[in-house]
Amino acid sequence: MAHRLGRLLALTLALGLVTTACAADREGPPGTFTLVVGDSFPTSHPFSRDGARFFVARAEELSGGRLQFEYYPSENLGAPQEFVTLADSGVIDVAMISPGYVSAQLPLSGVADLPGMSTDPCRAALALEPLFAEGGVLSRADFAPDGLRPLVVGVVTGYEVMTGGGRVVTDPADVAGTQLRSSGGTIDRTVQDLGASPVAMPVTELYEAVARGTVDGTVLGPMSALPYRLDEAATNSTLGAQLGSFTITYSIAERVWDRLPPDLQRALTQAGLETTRHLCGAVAAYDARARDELTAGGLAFHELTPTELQRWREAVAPVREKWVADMERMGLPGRVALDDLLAAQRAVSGPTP
Amino acid sequence: MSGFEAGLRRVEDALAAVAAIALLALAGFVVLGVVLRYLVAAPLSWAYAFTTDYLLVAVLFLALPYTVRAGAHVRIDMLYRSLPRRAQRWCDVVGGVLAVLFAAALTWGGIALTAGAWADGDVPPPGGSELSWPVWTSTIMIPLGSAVLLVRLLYVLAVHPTEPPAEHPAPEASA
Repeated sequence: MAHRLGRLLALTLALGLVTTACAADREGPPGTFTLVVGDSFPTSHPFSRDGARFFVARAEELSGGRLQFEYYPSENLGAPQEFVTLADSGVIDVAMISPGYVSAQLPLSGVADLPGMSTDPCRAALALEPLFAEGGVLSRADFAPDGLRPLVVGVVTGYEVMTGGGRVVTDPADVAGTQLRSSGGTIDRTVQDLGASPVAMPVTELYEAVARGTVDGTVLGPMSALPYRLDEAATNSTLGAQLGSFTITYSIAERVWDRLPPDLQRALTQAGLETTRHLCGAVAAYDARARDELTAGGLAFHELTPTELQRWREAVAPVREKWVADMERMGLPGRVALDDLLAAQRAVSGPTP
Repeated sequence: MSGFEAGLRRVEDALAAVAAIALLALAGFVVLGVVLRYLVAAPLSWAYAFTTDYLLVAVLFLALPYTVRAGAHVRIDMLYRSLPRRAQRWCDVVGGVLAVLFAAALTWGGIALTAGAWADGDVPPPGGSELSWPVWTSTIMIPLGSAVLLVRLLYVLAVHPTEPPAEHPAPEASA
């Protein structure tokens, strides 16, 4: 979802910050480089704690202190919809780039958020790694043309149907005719294909909307539902429907990358690989904890039986094909992206770290 | 009134009219959304993105020059009022120059943003809640509104400091 109004605010900020950035030389003592890292997550969020901060610490260590970082969390440098623009204009060197937020700029990367992908955050992230790496289809079609090089990949898997008012959902047919708050992008398409109406609203309004019955429910992951205490408003949730994911990367701007000596490039790449592996384990643990807390708060999870699961898989199968067709119509290699991702998921066996 | 000012006013009025229609549409979409949701359980899923991508941008940027002309922007004038007339004129000039610089930066930035979106062919993919319209069709309103604002500010700077500041709020302000 691109909030273009916000883009302008970011632009104004960029104008101000570019001047500051130029004034304060980012190259400190000879051979050392200071990179600005920006994301949208509060510091207690696993993406910040086990993603950005872990990455920064590892890169500093691996470079023997020659890489220094200034980390700005919590949208300090702008909204996530602006990060591609901010990385391009030189405000941020390593930006949190999430295809879901910038689908107009990185449409093909939406492949990661299609339904029925791996439910394991580690498997999901590691399968995406080769697609984002140099020469990978998402790097070629999406990131490289925008001057970005992904270093870290993180995936929140497990988007489920969460409903209020005691409505139990076990079968895809149960959501037909309902109105579900949807976070946009690929998830909208999935909701629509299930016969429900996607309702767009800020996530901050979700609690009230579900509590009052303005919407029947939402499609969201436990990890994202907990901060909004959805357990108080919603009553039921599926478990295992896997209607989509939320994917992020920490990507470095190519203009910065090209300026770095090869050994520091290697340090960044290595730190990225390690962070991806560390982060996915943290996300999985956090997600499990979130599920427990939501359950304790009164949200009843219904674990789908293998037969039910099969029906959900069949119900969302057309979504992938429609997505491929839409991408090919836009002149993008949708088929290659989907096939590559599915092949990579098969190749990555089981949770790694 | 010079031909130049008459022309400028016509452009400003046209942009303000579009902004006013956008504001009306915004209210209309909210009502329509509620009605559709309750009566037929089929809300307009694209209305939210259309509002943030188009209507809000239009309401803000296209109304900028008109608002300056009408003197309707929020002004903190506690200190200004207590200054002697001569000092007030200096304030007008300094404020005017700063506003011109800001509007110029905004215009430049808006052009860069729009040109970038155009050159990259940025389009939200179909199937989402966003309309699959090229991004530049929304961002173009930023340089458009800012450029006319810039012209208006330059005009104010060139003409107004010679007038008594008491006359600053144009008649439209109270209308």
